[in-house]
Amino acid sequence: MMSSAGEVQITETRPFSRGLIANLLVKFDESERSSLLGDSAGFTLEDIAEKVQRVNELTQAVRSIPSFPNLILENVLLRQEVEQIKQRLTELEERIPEEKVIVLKEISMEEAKEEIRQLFSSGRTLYYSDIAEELRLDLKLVVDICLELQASGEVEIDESVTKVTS
Amino acid sequence: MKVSPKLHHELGDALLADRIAVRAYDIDKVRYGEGSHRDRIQFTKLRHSAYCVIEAPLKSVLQRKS
Repeated sequence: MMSSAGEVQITETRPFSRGLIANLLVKFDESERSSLLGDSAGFTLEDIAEKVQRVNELTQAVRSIPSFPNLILENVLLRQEVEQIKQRLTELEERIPEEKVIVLKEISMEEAKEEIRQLFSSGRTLYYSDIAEELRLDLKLVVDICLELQASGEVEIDESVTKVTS
Repeated sequence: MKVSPKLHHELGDALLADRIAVRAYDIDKVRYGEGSHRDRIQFTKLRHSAYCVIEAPLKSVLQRKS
């Protein structure tokens, strides 16, 4: 504990445990002895010389491969190529149109006609396929109803769109 | 008022338009024809009760006049 003067005051003392005293008095075993041998870690001079010899042989073997720098370069180029292929694959996957499941409604023709009238009341220009998709109706049914609506004068072909596309 | 669309059933009848909506029980995978990347033609086959219609842009008459 620190006193006001910055000195350490011991307020509690504990006796050494028996285990600690026994550890202090025990003789060095083999592992502790080897830790005292320094950086050689117990290897003999012959062992170290043999290992140095093996490292030198390996270094010579690697240097003796004539195409080793070429292999490194080829590795880099192949990695770049793989990255480009991955990027291209991602682009192609994004272009693939996703399949979309539409559960068609089974309603009467009159109900379908009313729904199509309501859709046209929004003021949008719609194609048959737009109507079929939005209302989840059969395409043939939509075409039949739209022809009826055209005949009755409720809807007509949007000339402004046909002029732009033609 | 019942209005029937002009239906073409004969073998060899064709549709030609900028926009055709189709419906069928089986649609083959899209195949790409020869040509440049931008202008490549695609084609496929519709099977089993195939129905195709030239799309028309439709607009409400009342909405247009208002």
